[in-house]
Amino acid sequence: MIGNASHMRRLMMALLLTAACAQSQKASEPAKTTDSKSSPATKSTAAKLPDFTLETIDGSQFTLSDHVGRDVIVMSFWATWCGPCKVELPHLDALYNEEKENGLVIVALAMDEPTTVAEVAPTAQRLGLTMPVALDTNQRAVALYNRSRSAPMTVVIDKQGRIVHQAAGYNPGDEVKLAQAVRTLLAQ
Amino acid sequence: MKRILFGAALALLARPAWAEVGTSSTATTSATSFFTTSETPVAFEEPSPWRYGFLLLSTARYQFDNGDRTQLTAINPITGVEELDTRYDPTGEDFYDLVTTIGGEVGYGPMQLAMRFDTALFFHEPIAHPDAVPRISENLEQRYNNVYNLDYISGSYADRNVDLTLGDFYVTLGRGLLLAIRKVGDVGVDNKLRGANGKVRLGDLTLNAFGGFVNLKNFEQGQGFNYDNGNDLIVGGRAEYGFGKYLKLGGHGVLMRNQEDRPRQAEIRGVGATVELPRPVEWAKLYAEVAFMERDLSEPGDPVATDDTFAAYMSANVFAGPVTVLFEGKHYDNLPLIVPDLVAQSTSPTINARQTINLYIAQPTAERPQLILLTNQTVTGGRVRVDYRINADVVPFIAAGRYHDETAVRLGSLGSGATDATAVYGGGTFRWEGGTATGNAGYRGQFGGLDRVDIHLLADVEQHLWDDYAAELYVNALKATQDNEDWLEGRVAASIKAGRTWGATLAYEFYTRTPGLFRQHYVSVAGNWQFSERGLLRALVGGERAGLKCTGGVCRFFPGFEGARIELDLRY
Repeated sequence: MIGNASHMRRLMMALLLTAACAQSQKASEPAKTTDSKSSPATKSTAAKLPDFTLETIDGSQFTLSDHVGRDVIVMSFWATWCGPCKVELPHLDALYNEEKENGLVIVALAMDEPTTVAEVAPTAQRLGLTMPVALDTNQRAVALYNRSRSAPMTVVIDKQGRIVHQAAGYNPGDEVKLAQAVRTLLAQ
Repeated sequence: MKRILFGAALALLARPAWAEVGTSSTATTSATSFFTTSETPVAFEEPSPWRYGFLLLSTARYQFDNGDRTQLTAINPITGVEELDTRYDPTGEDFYDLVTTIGGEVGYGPMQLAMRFDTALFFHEPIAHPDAVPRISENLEQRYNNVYNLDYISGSYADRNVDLTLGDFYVTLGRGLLLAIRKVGDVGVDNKLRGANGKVRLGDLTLNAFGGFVNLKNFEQGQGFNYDNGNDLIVGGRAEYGFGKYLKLGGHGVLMRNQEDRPRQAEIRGVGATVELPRPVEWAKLYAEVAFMERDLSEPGDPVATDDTFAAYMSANVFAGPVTVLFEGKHYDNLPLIVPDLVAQSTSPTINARQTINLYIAQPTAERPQLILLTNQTVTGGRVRVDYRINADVVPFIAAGRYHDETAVRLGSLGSGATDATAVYGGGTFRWEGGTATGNAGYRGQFGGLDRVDIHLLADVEQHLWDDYAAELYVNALKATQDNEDWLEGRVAASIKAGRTWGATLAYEFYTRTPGLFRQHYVSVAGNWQFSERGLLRALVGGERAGLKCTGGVCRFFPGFEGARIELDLRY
């Protein structure tokens, strides 16, 4: 085990060094552009929240920092076993399609465990979702933004990268209030 | 009634109280709402990189006669005979508990520090009868003890390319065949590794390495268990390379080692590989995983069990216009559940909850998540599910599965042969003006070894009434036959809700198995009141049934309850 521990220490050192290199490289790169028509992020705002990168069901990746400090972001934590989530998601998708050109990003973060994650893509398909649907199988986004692992849980981040809204649960009519709030944020 | 009022008063006076409970799939009430009562967002004065969060969740319970007559049967270590004590009631009568979790987090830019502290206080807790068998006294010694526990602490840095955590973290490799240290809220499981976890993204290559000791959710409120973490070290890593949307290849390895001083060290070594075609064409996706595992298990008494595992799992989707097809297949050749201390798993949730619900791996079941799966260790099978989206409001589905299980044969269980199981079920989602209905019903029968037939019905109907008012009807019923014994179990609940402000539920639960051992009928009235944007109060008076609750292959025994419970959630 001494050998293993030593190996682990070396590995962690290598990870830390790699992290430092990656950070310095990132600082020298321009902000990544996306399809959004909003203004590009500045370094100061884009670094305000812990980041995560998750695989989406269509094989691409969703990285939070691509949007923080530039777009209004709605993170909707859900799971295939959550009934209210599946009622709410089509409303969120409709809002996404209405406002995505104005700088709204909505991501549906599936908290499904390994045993049910195979259901995520077909569930999204039959709900007709067009917004990004990301898989948080490792519960990383959960650990950062939904520690109680509530479903559904909605987190809204404004254009300045501030978390301005968190709400667990869904009741009919919530989508109307959320849409009004999001449009207010988009207008700011 | 006096008891109820007294229990409620106790809870209110105690003030801080909660227990983190799993989020039910039917729970639609709010736990936190920062601006649900306002149509505009909360205004923040100045942008700041600092973030703060505070959480207080508290549950106070007063439990009178719960009607639960669960009995413990165990081998008496003195006589060597299995004994039953009918005077033993594991959840007792007239006892109180106060369970509180306090959590806080502070963040600065990409850095975050979070911690959570659990306490549980018991009053007038159950004790063993003086003449009870020794096993019962031993069982109670590890239950209903006051708890003060730092459950979670972590510091993390997460940016675009680097994700580092020191302290507690969750980790799953692939679909969990070799490792899945995770939270399963519905059954109260929240396991972490306490150590270090680092992930680096280098273009299309992602590298992950981690190591730490297992940190269990030590307190199990249902039966009052408070168990230790043990001393299991787990290290591992994973590399993954993606070729756009067309192909993603991954490989991982894990080493688990029990660090207790034993004659023979328990150790598990595993490697696995994943192949994923996320979207090679617009109409299909594919995932496949294989795993190999070697085990040297030290069981109590130190007989050494050494064995190997091969496991394969795959899932495929086809999207053909309105039709969605899901196929899942599995082939597990001796894939046991890996539990704390790396010993053989106990099969009795009432005797050893620690090793029944705290699993280090996940076995994708390719079956309904709520299913009580009797065996899943040496099995080959799969299921297909077809959904047809007639329009946005009508989406029916049908599913069928077939499984050949040789777990009992492989283990040499006395009198057990191979089991063949067949499952057929169907249902769908239906929407109309102001309303939604989801549900499914079906049959599952297994024969050959342990015979069992299940017929289930699950339905959830919600209808908007007027203004913010809505009504909900929830039905979850199971008719089971096992070993020539028939029983019914389930829950029927009717709720009315006024937006996020308040809601009330009348529920009837039933469990007709072994009359006299378990109470059969339970009625409860519950309400919730969101008294401020950051505070929620819930209360329940009445009974809740005993029984197993399963989610994705993890089953936990919930004892019956009859009494009063009040919960307070505060989040800032």
